[in-house]
Amino acid sequence: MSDDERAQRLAELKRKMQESAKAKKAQQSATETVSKPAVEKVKDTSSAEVTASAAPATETPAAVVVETAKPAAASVAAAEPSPVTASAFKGGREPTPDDRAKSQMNRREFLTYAWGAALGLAVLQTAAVSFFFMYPRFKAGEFGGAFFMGPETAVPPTDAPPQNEPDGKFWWVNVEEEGPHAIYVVCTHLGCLYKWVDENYRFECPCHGSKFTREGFYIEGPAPRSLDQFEVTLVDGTYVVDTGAKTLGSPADESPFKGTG
Amino acid sequence: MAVQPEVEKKGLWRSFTEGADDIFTRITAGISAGEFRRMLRGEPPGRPNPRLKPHSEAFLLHIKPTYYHESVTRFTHTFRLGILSTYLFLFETITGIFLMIWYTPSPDQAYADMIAILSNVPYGQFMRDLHRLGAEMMVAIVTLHMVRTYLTGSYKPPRQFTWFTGVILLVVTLFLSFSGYLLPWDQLAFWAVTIGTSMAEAVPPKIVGETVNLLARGAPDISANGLLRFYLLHVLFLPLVLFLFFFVHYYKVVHFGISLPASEEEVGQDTANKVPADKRVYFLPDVLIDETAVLIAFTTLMIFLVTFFFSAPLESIANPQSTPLHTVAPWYFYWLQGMLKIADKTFAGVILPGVLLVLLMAIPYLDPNPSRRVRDRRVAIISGIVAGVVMIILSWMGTPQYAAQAAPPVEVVQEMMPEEGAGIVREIGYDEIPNGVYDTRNDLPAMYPEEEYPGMHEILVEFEDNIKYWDKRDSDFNEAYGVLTVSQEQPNLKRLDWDIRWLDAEGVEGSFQRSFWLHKDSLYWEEYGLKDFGYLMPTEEEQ
Repeated sequence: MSDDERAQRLAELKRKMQESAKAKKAQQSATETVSKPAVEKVKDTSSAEVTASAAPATETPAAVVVETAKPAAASVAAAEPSPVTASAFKGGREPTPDDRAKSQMNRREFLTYAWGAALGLAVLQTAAVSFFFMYPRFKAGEFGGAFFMGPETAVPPTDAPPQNEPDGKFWWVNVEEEGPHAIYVVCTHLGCLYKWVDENYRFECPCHGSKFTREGFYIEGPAPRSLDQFEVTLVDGTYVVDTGAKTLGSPADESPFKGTG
Repeated sequence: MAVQPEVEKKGLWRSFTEGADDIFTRITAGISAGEFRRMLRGEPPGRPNPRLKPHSEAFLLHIKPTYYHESVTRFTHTFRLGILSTYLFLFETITGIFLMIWYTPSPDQAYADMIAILSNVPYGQFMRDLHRLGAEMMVAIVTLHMVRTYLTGSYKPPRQFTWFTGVILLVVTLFLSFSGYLLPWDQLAFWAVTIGTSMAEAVPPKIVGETVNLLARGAPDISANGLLRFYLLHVLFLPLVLFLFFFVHYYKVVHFGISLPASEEEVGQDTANKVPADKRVYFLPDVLIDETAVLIAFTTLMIFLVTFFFSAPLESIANPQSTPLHTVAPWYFYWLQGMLKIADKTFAGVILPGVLLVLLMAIPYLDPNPSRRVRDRRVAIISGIVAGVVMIILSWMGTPQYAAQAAPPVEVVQEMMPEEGAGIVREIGYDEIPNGVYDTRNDLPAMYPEEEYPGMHEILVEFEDNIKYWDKRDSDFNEAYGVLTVSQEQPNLKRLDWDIRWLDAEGVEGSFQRSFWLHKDSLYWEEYGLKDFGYLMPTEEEQ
């Protein structure tokens, strides 16, 4: 910056500081006088003054439009008698950078928001990619994946004891008229593994003594619901258990076998 | 202040906006919302400059200078190579952590995991390609960064130590890239790393070399233990070393500033701390926006390349019993491989690279020239260019083109259908290759015109040209012809029998046969060419 320019800049800053000090004083006195009079009058003076003072200060016609749009907002604010808002532009001062910041957006700012938003979108996409990449893969034959339980004709008899399937963590039970069920091996109470007790012909949990029927219905004990089951579907004549799709058992109160033990 | 009195005093809306502005200012470590918008609009800061506050308040910005000299912000002065190198390190860390989710560093699992990443994990191939491309880009960009620094003489006082740490970073980058090479546990990985560690074995005296090799491989040969060691080097040790030296390097960069163009700065001048007020470009917002834009453009380029052009090769599973023909080191070690072909392994593999490395690090301390201007540095610049040319020639010598040629018939078949990788026949693919017997003594390209058999035409032209090329070149390979027999071995599986016959210098007939299978669903594409999207468009018979 050359010396001349510096001097000019200093003078300009000085002038601005004086003006803003003057404006502040005027504002203070205005606040005292304006707080009483009718709301209508405040609105008129403030909007007229803003339009008048903003027009010479702005460079482009577009900016003037934006500036003149402001008084409308100001008048809305002024409708509620708030002394601070009403006197915001009192005293005939030029709008400070802060005032302008609130009212107008230039091309550069808009474009920054635009690419900022595009960047945000890209980040969201990255998040989606990361999610799909990280999400576990379930293979057939591993817990969480599908289990192929053989053809329709090879299901165990409906009176046979439940058959344990340790890899898939379920009991394979054939129920008359309903077809086979895949009952999740974990007790609905606190996560213990219950056992099939053949003498009592029911499932019994060793931890807290919950009992369930062969079909998984709640009989007694602290368990809150009947046993959870996995979805069983018939695909091309073969039973498929999806250990990724668990259906929660119905509440203990609704069990038809409640208290029958 | 309690909430209620404040709301009573200022009104609900104003207390809300002021509260929001307060939170905004805390997040940006000192930039209020109004100042932020003025920044975006390109308006000058107020005085005192509120945009300096984040540099003292915020951890992430405290290492960045508050302003730069106007001349160093020119794109053509730095080409942004330093920040790109740093970014690539971050990029590799992130994609690497993602890949680690699906990877087990054990010979029993590693290759199966690679197949799973490529074929079963959503975006798995994308992630691997990004990681591989990033690694190669990082080597290239770090090297270019060094070349730029050399050519502008920026290593001269006071920035000697910056250069020194930069060379360390280059070496660590090379080792990082190379240690990752073994992890896929395919033939490419296994044999490239076998060659690399064999070079370590050449360290004299013998006992030291053997010990170094044992420490690196964890066994006399690369095995489970070697894979684990390379994995740990790759994911933990070397990144930590790089991390440490990066900060040493960057501290020096900030401390002394980026060197100005030679015309504006004398050697030894402290320009970083004496930037005239009218030459300052502030980090907030100008440099920040510039850097962000460069990184966005670069990321876009990487994604574009990976989507359409680049795919990381994966060969068949590592087989310690068989070295594939034309095993090569990664391209950035071609020069070393080239030297190893012409000189002793101890000299070319250890002593010479070691001496070169020490020389490279010592350049700033050895260079007596006090000027950074090109016209005063003719010797330095010419020797730099000569060194570059020598590297390029050595690199060419490192490719299979030089002194690693097999017998001509083997090379012909290798060219058409290599033992590892794709090759022209596999790229053109199953559907384009009709069954039949193709004898190069007939005028095959005319029999299979391009309009009718576009793929087969290309294969046959290539086949003929290859045989003619070797016929002309090798005196033991005369009147050669080849017969390609394509037969349907099983549904969806073709068998390609290559039969090459020739007369040697004494007129004795020789022959060479090689068979390959090609499955309909095999997906090969050019490893570094345009990806094949043919599977997106069903062929006629499928329609």
